[in-house]
Amino acid sequence: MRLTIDLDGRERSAEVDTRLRLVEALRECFGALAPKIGCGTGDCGACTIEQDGLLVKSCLKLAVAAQGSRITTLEGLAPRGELTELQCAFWEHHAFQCGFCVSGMVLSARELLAREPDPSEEAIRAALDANLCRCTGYQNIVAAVRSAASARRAR
Amino acid sequence: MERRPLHDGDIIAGGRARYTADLALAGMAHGAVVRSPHPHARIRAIDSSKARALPGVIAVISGEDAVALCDPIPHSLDAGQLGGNHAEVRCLALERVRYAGEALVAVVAEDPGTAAHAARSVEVDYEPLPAVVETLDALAAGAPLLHAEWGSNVIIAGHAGDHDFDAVAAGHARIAGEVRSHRGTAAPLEPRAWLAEFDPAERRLTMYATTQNPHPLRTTLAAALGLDERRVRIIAPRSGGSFGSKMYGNREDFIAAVMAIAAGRPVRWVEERAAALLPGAHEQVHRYEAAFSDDGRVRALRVSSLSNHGAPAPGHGWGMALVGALTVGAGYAIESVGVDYTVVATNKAPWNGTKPFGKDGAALVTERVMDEVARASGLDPAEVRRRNMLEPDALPCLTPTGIELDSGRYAVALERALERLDYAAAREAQRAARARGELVGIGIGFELTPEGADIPGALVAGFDTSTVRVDPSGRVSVLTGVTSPGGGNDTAIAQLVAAELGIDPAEVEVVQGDTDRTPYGFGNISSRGLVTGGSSALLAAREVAERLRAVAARMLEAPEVELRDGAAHAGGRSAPLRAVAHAAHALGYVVGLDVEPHLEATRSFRPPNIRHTGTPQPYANYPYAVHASVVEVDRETGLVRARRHVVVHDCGTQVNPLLVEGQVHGGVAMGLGAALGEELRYAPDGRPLSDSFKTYLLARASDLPEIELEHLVTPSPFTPLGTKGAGEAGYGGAQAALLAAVNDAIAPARLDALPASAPNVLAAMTR
Amino acid sequence: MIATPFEYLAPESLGAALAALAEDSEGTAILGGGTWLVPDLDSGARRARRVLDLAGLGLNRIDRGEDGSLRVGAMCTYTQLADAPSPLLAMMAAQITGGAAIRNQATIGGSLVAARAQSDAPAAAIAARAVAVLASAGGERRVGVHELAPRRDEILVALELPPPAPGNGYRKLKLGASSWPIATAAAAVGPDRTIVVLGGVSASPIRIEALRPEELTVTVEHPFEDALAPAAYRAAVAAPLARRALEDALRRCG
Repeated sequence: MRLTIDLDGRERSAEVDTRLRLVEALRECFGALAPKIGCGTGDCGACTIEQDGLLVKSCLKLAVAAQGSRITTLEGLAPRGELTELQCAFWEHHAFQCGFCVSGMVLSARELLAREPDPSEEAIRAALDANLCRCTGYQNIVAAVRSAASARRAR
Repeated sequence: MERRPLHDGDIIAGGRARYTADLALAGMAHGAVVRSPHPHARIRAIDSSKARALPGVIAVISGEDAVALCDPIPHSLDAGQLGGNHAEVRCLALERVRYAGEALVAVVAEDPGTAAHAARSVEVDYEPLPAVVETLDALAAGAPLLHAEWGSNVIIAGHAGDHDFDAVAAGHARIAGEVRSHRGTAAPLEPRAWLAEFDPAERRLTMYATTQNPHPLRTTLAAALGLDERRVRIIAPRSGGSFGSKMYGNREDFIAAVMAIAAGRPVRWVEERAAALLPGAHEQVHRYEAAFSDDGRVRALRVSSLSNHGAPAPGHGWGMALVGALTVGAGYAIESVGVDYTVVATNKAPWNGTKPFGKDGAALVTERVMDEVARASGLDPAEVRRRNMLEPDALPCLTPTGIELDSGRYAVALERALERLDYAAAREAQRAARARGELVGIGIGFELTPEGADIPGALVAGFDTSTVRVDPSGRVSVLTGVTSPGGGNDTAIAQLVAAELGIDPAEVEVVQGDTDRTPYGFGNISSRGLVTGGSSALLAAREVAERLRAVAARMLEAPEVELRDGAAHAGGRSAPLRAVAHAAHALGYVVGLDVEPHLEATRSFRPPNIRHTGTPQPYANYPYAVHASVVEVDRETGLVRARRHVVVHDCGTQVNPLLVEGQVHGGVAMGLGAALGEELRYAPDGRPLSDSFKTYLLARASDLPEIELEHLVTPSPFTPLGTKGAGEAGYGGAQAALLAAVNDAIAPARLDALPASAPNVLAAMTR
Repeated sequence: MIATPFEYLAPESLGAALAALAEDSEGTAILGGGTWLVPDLDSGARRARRVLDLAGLGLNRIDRGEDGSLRVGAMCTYTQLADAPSPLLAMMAAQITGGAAIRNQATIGGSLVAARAQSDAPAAAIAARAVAVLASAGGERRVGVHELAPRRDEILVALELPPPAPGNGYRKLKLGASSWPIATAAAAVGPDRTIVVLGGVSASPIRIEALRPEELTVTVEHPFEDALAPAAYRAAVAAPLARRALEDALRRCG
């Protein structure tokens, strides 16, 4: 089946096996390797993407059901290589170690900051509950999000 | 030295990091395996005709088929060579399966869906056998045996320490009891994955794998597959975490190779999460008895530990029981320590080496003893630690169990932790809460983690090797035998080398994980990455720096050369490093005659304090930490909330404190998560119940408090920079502190078996 | 990757969907949010010849009547419910495990049809006195959510809720942020009736009529057991949880 999507700001089209879940189609057919598969059951959040303006776990979506979607992955946040403020905050605060969870973490943090410009620690942790991290203990991730939020408010 | 973010952090933050499952080769096929649903069964027959008939199926390999391709898997640590029982384990089960989830048939197909379909279409005629799941059942007379020829279900039993308990304990008061820990697993976010290709004409195997130890894997794979080790290349791409689960000795590494050989095509195989949750660790019962004097000092400690290992396996897993035994009581001045350990085989999935490699068990039982002595003697638990901890100038010292602690200021760490917590205020707040009917508890946990092991006879070495190379354009590369599981040792290695050469760390490229490119090394295991990889890179960098300075001295016609800011400086003049490097290559007979002309040095670092004769001393360094935990317990539901967590950690000199902090945060989160309810559960019939993150509950951001971390620096006397390993920090002490806090909250009720999940805590309170 | 091929149907009208379903209700899986179905298809726990996607049927509206009654489309997500004028559904939706992405995707209809014991939705919907609207090629029928048992050829299209009670409370007990519900208690307090519905403690929700917390008696005859908690635990926490939800509801009553 021919799947046509707007992927990270560009219209893309590829032959997609209908048995593929959306995360698999993105990775295997469109070369969008930022979303990862950590569990396949919607628990770990490594496959998180933004689809038509909403955060979703792409391992829980069928590729065939994504026709015409507008999809943003982590790579789409900084298409020309420069990093967003949020991505820089993650880097500077050592908010990732192995990096496997970072795609979902950054997208979840971005979604939080879009609706809550001054989130409390509790709100940050609750938003990050969608994403598992096994390396960092979440500490530096929370710090990075807090820092990005205050930088944004300062501007 | 410098708080420096990951040197490739922009790649990771930008979503461009590539892991094993992200890789593809032309013509790639896909693998899947058939796993036993039975915990114990004889394989009567396998009918793969339906599977083979499916369009797109390329190969179906049974255990029998695999015999021609692959010998039994070499043991990473053979209990049979150390007084225990040997188990022959093949990559695909032959005749018998001994745990639910054991792989017995491999399938290769054009796409993963077809491979999965084919695997589900293989029909296996099993004859279920009686299974043993619980440790005591496996030890009972008449228990079903996993290996009949053993006559028992004991993989190995041994003793660490002395046998002087009765003599030393005479006349002193005693406490005794039992504490249990539950089965857990490493569960890195990245499942294991392999991409293997075999060239039959040259008998050459290339395998990308999520392995911590590419060279030992190469050696053992070549041996088992009958290949020339020089024709095997293992590449470990960027790792999505391992925590021990990707140590060499996994049968899956061999299955992946067999898939590629049988298929005649490159094969990618990615493990499902349910399979990644099979390997286990931590499940132990410790019976303890301690004798103490009136002043709360423990004189003698005797422990008997039983470990539920699951089915025998060729990996290092059982070693955790031995290491835990060696570590019991470490850091405290206890005259007599004796630990019996027994590693029991059951029909659960096998143990796999898992952070912190048995040291969690040591902390659990030792800290329980300290708390019990406090309770029995009426002393404050912090005071008991204070009175028992070894003084700094008693170190280095040999413990009764035979490890030689290098350096440490344990009581200072304790004081700092109590200060940070404001212990007096915390106790006051606890009293006030109690008066309101709320259950608040405070617990202390001391952990001491031997790191940098060298195991004679195993490919687990205390030393490692690095090459530093400067090419004619002045570019610097480090090729090191250690690998990174994601903790950032490559960044720290770049820092060390850059400092020697006077350049910016961003100018240093670190190559790891490719057996064709790096010197033979032992990967990451036992927190050795920075100590051995970093120290060897440092030594190699110093040699190269000396050569650069000699060449520059000639060029600048001045004797005292300093390498700084990317240039060589002497006598008021300077030359950029790239000019010096070029001159070393192009003007070797003009300016390079004083030194070896080659701008490349390969050096190994071998910690001098490891020894295997006399009193064996298998570890290179001994970091430690003191934790304090404050919890609230809901008396009606048993739910535990970790409200505060303080940790004072000492891993000696820190090259990059940012990376060390990250390690400690992660370890604390793992230990707290384990204590609060991360549990691999089994049904009584031996089927695993925890097959997803819905049933194996990792801690998430809102489960954890802020981790209040402080550092002490007590350098190691034995490493070039005084560094000690940081890779296992946090787990053991956090778990012990949390259990202690829960028991402090619910006293006089007491929880003797982890996890401190709500059902367990409520049951303890209502007993 | 799902092991076996299936036909994907995305009808644009309810009539077309129902006709398609009637053709092969045995072999057709209904796709709502996908949070249960997609992993089951991938693992092989569920096999389907056809997957019928409800996304194009406009079943994701929330309509409010003048009297405060509500019609909630079955495809409404938890994100939508978190802002809906039904306090019970909103409180329940806001606490769904899995974060914003799950709440954006999982649907109230899907949850009610799946009817898993470890689910938040059923007890809250029962306490809100929801009525399920089921459509089939043969017509429409209504049934109280507590009696929901869709036939193979039926699609749950909406919930109809009476105006919410003046005081509502919702409590959820779970073992940690990763955990599904161990027990839930949804309380609705009004002048004419007070109800507490316990979810998760038994295979089906337990309805308790009560007036004051002291009069609340909770008997769990067949407590539920799963990999996360034994039956005895659920039986033990049912009463405290029910009491807390009821106290919350009374407090909000004023």
